[in-house]
Amino acid sequence: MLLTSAGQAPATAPELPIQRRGSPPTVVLLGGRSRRELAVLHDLGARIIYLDERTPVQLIPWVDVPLDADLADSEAVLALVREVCGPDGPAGVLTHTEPRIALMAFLADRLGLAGRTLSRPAAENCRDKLRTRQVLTASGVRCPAARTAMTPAQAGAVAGDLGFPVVVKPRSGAGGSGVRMCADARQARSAATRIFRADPLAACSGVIVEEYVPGAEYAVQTLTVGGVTEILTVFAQQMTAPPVFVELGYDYPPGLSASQYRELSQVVTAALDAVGLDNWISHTQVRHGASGFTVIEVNARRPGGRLAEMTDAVCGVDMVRAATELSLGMPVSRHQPRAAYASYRSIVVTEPGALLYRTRPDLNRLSSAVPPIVELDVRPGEPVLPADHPDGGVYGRTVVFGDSAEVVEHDLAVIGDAVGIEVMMLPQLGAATDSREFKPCC
Amino acid sequence: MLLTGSRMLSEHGQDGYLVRLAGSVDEVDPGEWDAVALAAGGSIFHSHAWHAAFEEAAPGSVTAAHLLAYQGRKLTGICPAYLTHDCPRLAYAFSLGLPRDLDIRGPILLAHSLASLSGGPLVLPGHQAASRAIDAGLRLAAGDLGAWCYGYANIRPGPFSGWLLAQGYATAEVAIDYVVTNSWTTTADYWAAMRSRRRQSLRGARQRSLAGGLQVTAEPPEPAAAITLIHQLLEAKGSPADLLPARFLEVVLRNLAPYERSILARDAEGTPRAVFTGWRFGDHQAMWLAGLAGDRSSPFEPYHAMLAELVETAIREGVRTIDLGRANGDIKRRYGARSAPLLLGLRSGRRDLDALLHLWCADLQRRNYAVLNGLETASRCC
Repeated sequence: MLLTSAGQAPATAPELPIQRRGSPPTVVLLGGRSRRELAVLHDLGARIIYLDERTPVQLIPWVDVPLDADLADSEAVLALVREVCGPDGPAGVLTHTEPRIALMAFLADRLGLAGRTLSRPAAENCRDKLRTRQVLTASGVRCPAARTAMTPAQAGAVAGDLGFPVVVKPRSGAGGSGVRMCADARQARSAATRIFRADPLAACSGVIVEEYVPGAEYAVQTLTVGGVTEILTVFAQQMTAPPVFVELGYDYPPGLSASQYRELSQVVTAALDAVGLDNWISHTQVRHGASGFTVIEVNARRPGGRLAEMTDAVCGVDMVRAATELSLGMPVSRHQPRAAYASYRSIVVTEPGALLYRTRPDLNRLSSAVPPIVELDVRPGEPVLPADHPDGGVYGRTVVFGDSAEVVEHDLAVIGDAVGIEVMMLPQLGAATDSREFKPCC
Repeated sequence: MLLTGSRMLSEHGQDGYLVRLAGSVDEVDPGEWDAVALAAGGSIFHSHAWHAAFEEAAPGSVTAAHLLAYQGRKLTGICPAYLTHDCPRLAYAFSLGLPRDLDIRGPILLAHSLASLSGGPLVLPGHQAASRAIDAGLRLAAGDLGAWCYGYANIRPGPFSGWLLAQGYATAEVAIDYVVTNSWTTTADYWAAMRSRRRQSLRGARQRSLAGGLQVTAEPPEPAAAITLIHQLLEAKGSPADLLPARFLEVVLRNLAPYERSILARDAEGTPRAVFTGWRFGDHQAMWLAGLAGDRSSPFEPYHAMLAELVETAIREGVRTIDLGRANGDIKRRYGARSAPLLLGLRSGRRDLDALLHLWCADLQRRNYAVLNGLETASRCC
């Protein structure tokens, strides 16, 4: 439920070369549920061929050709796209969702659209966390020492080899689901067991067991075009204390010194160069510990939650639009930043219960002229679980923008009072809402 | 340059290295070749003798196309490679399911073969850049030799494989190798380091093997007997003998005799019942193939006794790593082995074609994992 939202900056759509010939460019969009992604394509005058396992009914009016397909069969999808698009093929292939990125890269490479999005090797290097670590290590980019384990017992043994504490995580995936810090072999076995049970495919590819790198965490958003990487934003990230890793918030500016910012930029640029990411956007997670910056994840996609909107507000590049424009071979459009400061706070709970809040908050006391984003992923009265519960997580978010840290802090407090979130204890809690289902990312 | 041999691939090279294409391992002095292999920590599968045997009688149809990196006159890196027209293991891997648009007609330049337990380039310490020059040479050689793609077989995860991923190679884990790292000075230390329940279990299994009159010794098998046992085990597993033709095994056993470290099990009458064929090269010992009489031996009757003997012999000889080969991981892990994935990495240089190679490799890797997890998929690519 979106209580209020910052409007996207109006951006003038550059004229498409293909439009000059009188026909709209055809874009194959792979999955996704966000109307914002579709709105950008409409704004650019694209004809949308939407492909998913099952097209959501609510999206059908938004697209030109909705197609249901087995997206696991890359060749069948390619044949379908060729059939639908005819001999000229589409002008672009696009996805904003993590599981479809490898397919997007495959289609682009096969359809002669290389250079309009990231390559299949780069997609693989980002999606498979083991590959990411191997590539980064070979390129001299600091990342956690990691190995795979095919069984819970092996996870315990590998953890012992690496030295405790370790982090056990799925080999692929997004959103921190299943990621857990483990202090001993028993915990490592237990964490691996949970991943294997949750995802049968993990039993085939194994889980990642890696060293735990303590330190402050940063989310780095980038745009790489023609081999040149531009750091769009760096957000200081707040997380729950281990063993789980739930994002509590982000702040901009991140509070880094000039030299730290320079070092971080170099590390991220080197990491993206190593994985081969080009003509695409990324969201890279980096931790700053005793030995400097360590790359934790390289995600070849926009960030989750509302970090793309936060990036848009403070740097003037809409990552959704940027990815769309890149997929069409267009220059990335930019606008003036609307805020110098921003803060993002996740809505999490510490106790299980029913979440209550005001659906029409009074936000008249806000100081900033830039509208905030306040959204809840669950309806009032729905059951919720604490962040450290395996099925718990984030149930919404607030993002505020301003010209100073004081304005941002003030507006966060105003919104907190106005929304009035509280958790009502329930004697017998029914099935809790899985927060991940609602996460508008990845 | 005064270098002899087939052809210079690059006069300029990368990082000051010259890369030469050699049509046979015989173009290089065995001592010089092996010195690089040993200094780089290579195993028997990189030795001059192995490749002399492979050139003479490899399964399928291959033509040697080795890459050699020089700095000045000094040989700094070797990368045995073959223009592979036909390889039964690779053919099987392809037969598991190719993307429809992937046209595999024509040879592949492969460094070097799925048959061995390790592949890829070896370079002298301090000459890591030579491996990148060799990779550039492999690409050039593939073009010159008419290969539709090129790459590496059975390389292990490490800096080089990570670098290949960064270069856009499509890779797949095609097998798991099991390796014991010897950190013990005596066999007593080895057994003492084991958990007591496991130690008792393995000793019990060994005694049961020997109680039936089996005699297990570290000795070279008579080649004909070894080949018969190897083929009988292939037959029992449903694998075709063309994976390891008798002629190839004869030449390998002959050429590698100086490095022989095999384990043989005989019955009470002295008849060979099972064999582990293996060789020592430098600090590494590799147990490459197993053979087992097909008439009455149960698969694991002599196995534990032979495995224990193999590890004990290697420890006594001060071997640093003991490669126990592929398959039977559950048992090999009990003897202290760690799994080491073996990777196949391929690239064509064409982005549209590479996308298909990535697709195929992803599928091949899934099949490999499925085998590990118990699906009864006959696999001959590993």
